[in-house]
Amino acid sequence: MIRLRQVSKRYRGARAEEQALAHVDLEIAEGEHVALLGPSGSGKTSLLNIIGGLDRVYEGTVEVNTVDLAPLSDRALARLRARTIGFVFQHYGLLDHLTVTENVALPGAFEDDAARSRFDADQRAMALLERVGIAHKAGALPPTLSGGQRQRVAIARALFNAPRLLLCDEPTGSLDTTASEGVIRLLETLNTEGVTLLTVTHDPRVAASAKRVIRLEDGCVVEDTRVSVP
Amino acid sequence: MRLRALLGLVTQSMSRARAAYVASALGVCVGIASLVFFIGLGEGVRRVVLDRVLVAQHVEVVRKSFDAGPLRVDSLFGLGATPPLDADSVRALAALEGVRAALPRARLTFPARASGGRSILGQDLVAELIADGLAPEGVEGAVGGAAALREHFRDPEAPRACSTSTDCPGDGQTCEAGQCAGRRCTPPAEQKGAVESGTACPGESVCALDIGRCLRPVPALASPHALELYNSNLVSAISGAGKTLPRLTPSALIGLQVDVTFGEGFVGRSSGAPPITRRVKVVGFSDAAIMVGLTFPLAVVQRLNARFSGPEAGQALHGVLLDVPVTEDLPRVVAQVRALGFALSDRSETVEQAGRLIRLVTALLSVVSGLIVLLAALSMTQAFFVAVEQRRRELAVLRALGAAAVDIRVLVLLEAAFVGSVSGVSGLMLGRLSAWTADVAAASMADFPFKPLSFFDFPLWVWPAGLGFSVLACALGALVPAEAAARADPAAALNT
Repeated sequence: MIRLRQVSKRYRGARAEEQALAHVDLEIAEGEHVALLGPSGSGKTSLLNIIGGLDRVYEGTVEVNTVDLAPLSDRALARLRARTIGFVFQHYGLLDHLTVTENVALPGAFEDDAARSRFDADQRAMALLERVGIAHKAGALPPTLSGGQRQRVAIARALFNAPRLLLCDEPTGSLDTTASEGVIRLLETLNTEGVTLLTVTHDPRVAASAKRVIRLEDGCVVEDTRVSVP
Repeated sequence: MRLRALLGLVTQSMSRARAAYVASALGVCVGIASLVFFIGLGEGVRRVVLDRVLVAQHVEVVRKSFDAGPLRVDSLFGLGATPPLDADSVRALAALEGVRAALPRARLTFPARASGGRSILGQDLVAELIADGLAPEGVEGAVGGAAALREHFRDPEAPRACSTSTDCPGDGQTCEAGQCAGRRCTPPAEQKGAVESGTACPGESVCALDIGRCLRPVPALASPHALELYNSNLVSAISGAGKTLPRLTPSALIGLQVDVTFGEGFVGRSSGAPPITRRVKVVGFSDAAIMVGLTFPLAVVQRLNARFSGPEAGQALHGVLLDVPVTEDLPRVVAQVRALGFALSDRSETVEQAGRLIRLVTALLSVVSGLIVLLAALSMTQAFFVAVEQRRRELAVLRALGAAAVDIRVLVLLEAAFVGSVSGVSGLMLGRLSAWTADVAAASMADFPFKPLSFFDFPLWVWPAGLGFSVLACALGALVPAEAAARADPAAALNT
């Protein structure tokens, strides 16, 4: 599903360049549930952005679903993101002026599926909201929701185009314990249904739910552990 | 990105961020309103001044002349002489592009005096007569029915061949020696020296003393401008002096008959021949008629000029009136006329200059209005920069969800176009409303010559052009912010 070869990333700081990633080699198979751990500044989010095609300035080779991202045009990369990848952010990334349903259906706007009508999109959004257990808030605006509810909306939105890969950046970082548990269970369920999960987290419970843990330090992979399922 | 979804995002964004764009949109709205207002005013003034006051569709061509001290001469020491105005010139002028007809014109070359008007003014007025002659084609478009006028607008004394009296036009005319002739008449002794219109002559014909024959009245055209000047200025001026004159309509004046003494006026007497008196009848109103005075058939004036000023004067043309139906063709026609070596009459020069001046002023005011719009569009740039910066993270989320850079660019530009549409429609409505208010205010002012019902004339193209300009200006204003939004690094925006 994901293959990285000698991926390096440098940021130009105020005084000198900072090495965010250094010669990272990584392969993640379809259906895996991977937790990406490491201290702040270790390169976790940089790695996530590069895999998601949001950051195109790097060295090395990144393949998602066997497609090398580097030669893709901006339009092709956007299409890949729309069809293959779902994003879940720590701060949800919901548009406050859109209703919950409209937020969930938003990825449909970037998909070239002219056959899908507004009605179909709303139907699908409702189905996803039911699935994440928040259908009763379909007409609400995000600011009226709790953190846990917002993250569920964000997950439903990430699933709208039925992506095979879900990239989650601190999905429980803004949630209390109860809400975190709910989100973790939801992600686990998605993984059991075949969605590949790559989750950047500091939360040990999220890491514990993953089947593989990769630890980054100073831009290098220092640990790559597969958790055996009893 | 799907267009419908994109438009949905635009309307959602706009409904949320109304306040952010209000100031800029207001500027665009005012700019478009003033643009429409000035274009409408310019067109309206052009219509009134050129079409009604100066009758721009009639260009009068004359021989070129030069100011030599206190005199005006046709050439300077034999140099710069222009071709004569004759039948060939008329044909050449008629063939010019944009010209519908070329009508030869001749002025009276001797003094004349008119008296009459009792039937409508209550008393006879006597005045020096200014008159000219125009080819019968000049009655086209005249008030009173062009076809009937063309029949009547001819020299009543022109030889008319006949074989029997039934070939003659009536009013007691008989066929004598192969020519139509009026009945012989002898006026009473006490009326000798004047025209007698009593029982001696049938119908409208009156006895011409110098030939002792009954003659039909000489047809004449008047200018609607003379009537306008009379109604708006003369009536109030004379009424203010203790008298009351009625306001007149063209139909009240058609049929008015006055007696004109040719060869003698207040300014002098012709030495070429003794004066004669003829009955003159106003048969219609035409923009082609002389501005103040009467216009007779060309044959009448040429015959009288020959009688009082000699045979050469009888052949002379003093101008050619060009009928230019499309006012926009005027500059082209004027250029062709000058290329032929002719000049324009002072009035037509004024028309051309007025047209140029009105176009220039309208263009200047439109440019000022356009600048207002563009300045507002610049403030739109600032507003969109702020908005894009505030929405940096939101736009990055859209990128993450599958929007390409071009989608973000189009999104911002469509938002600007939306603001431009709303501002444009508001501006067009405000401009039209301002024009209506100005017309209402003007209606309460005192009358003046050629005062129109509306000072504005809005060509159809103004509405789509105004809206398009507004949308274009706003889109141009948002171009740089849209590019900045498209080029923004989504990863960096999401990490802040």
